[in-house]
Amino acid sequence: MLGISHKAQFRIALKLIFMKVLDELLKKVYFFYPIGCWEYRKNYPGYLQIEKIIENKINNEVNNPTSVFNHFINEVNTEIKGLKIENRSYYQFPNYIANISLKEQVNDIGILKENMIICISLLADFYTIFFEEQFLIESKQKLRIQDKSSFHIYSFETFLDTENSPIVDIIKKKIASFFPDKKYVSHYLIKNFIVGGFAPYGEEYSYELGQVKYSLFDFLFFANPLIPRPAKILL
Amino acid sequence: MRKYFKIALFAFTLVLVGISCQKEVSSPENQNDVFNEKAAKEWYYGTFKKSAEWAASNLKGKKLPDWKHPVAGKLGNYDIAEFPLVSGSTSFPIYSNQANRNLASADLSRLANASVSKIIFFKGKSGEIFVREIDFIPDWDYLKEKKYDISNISILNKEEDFSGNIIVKKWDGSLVSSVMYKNGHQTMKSKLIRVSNDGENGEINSIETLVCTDYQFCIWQQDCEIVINGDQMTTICEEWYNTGDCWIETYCEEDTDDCVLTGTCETPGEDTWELDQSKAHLCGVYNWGTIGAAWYTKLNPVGFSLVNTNGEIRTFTFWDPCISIAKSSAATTQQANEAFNQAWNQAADKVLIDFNTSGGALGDALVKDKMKNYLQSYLNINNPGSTFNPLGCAGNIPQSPVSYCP
Repeated sequence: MLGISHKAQFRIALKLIFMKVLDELLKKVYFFYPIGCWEYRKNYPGYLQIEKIIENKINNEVNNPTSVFNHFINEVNTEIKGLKIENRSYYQFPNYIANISLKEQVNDIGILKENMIICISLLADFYTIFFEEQFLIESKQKLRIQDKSSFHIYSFETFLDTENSPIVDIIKKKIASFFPDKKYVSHYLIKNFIVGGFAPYGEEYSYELGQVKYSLFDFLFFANPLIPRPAKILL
Repeated sequence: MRKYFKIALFAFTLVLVGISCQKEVSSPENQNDVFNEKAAKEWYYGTFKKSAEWAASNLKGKKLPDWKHPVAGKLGNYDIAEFPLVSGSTSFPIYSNQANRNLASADLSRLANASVSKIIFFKGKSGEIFVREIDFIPDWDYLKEKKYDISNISILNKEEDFSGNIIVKKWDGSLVSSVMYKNGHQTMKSKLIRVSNDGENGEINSIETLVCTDYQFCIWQQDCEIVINGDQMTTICEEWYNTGDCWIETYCEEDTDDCVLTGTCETPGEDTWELDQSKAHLCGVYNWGTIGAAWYTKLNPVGFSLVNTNGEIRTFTFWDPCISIAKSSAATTQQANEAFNQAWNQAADKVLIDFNTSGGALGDALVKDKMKNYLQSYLNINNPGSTFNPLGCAGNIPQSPVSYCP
């Protein structure tokens, strides 16, 4: 490494680590999804396996108070007193997912919600943690049947939050203890890595619907039906 | 072939945006007459100039179609006649943060100078004639690629790769739509939410689940002296300048329906579709199971039918969709029933509006996708965590029958 500064060496090493992680995740995508051949999904062993994984999760884990993830939730809840944590693992997706409500501000225009999301993939040996912001504003729905005032999600962004990094550290430690096989991966990295030619489990792929872009995160961690893709990601 | 389809689609979208479903002055003409540039000019002087719609514009007499440079053609069901619009004072909203930098004042002036204002006249199926002004404001990269000249752009020509902002207005200047294009494809549509620099909010028309970006616009204006003599005109223009009228405007990636923007939902001259009352709105009681923090059920096949005035029927069905309602949104199964039925019914109403706006041209996959998206949106009003999965449920989820109510 003659002639290369320590900083440059560090950057190269970091890139190699990222590439190794991306390579591992991409292999999982190809294992579970018949990329490029939507019509073949019902014959593809990996795709059928996803359904089994969800079935297992739904039947055995989510409703079971002694399940590992419920234990994990309970322990995190004890450590981060004052914050509301919701187990959203009931979603029909192969993951464990929980939502920690960090902030809710009501002002004249609407409601600003900030959440921290913990997402453990059941398709890959990785988990990720990220922050999301929802801005809900009141709107009059002009419908034929009725006019309805309601709050709709107006914008949806993910962002980096250093202020709450102590909570992230707590959660990382807990995951290491409850799910020792799972490694952390940056949400920004996987959310920005686009995989074409198929749709994540639960989503439909159709030429008529155009070229919707899905990321590694969508395929392996969570294709949130509430977020239009590609979601706006800030770091 | 695909290329021409894209071109036609691009142009036709513009027209549909422009139509905006509203009946204005537009006296009915003989439906079978060919509507071309000559007919447009005759109609302008013979009918339109005497109308209240013409008089409603502050710029009446100060703006005029450039009759010498017409483009005419047919798009979808509409005969179109298009002309450059010459005005005593031309202005375009321009945003400065482009091409990964803040454009300098000279570049912004160049953008304004290259922007093109057109006026179109078009005749609907029923013979009514509509007037729309269309501003083509290129983005910097596109303008550079076109060597700083897009004067030939038209909704009828082959400029399928346009990138920038297309603003459609009525003759009186009121905004119909503002849409961002990239390489000829619509990418974002203004939600017409404007926040002035002092933070004061403008009108809010429609909010859904959207990915949005804010742009800061400033009005760039050029004042010209125009001498109009019949249909002849001479113009002497000054330099472009920033008027200082600036605001932040939100553009969102999801399509909005133009009906919401214009406040009316009728498409002139098209068949109107209605919900089939025997298969559209739900009022059922479902068998909910509990999974963690949600109520869950798998529905029997459920869908909705649309009927039009010709008696045609279109039916859209979801086979065994899976529904979860977060308990934070519905504490009881009774509330879960109400939450789902209400969301479904609202979503069906919205899809109907979109379907009519498109003139009944939406395909099955697109209609179902819209229904799914609206349903997701309505299910999660106020409190996220509920889902509608059209591909079914995995796991032991109770099945539910479906009941339709008029």
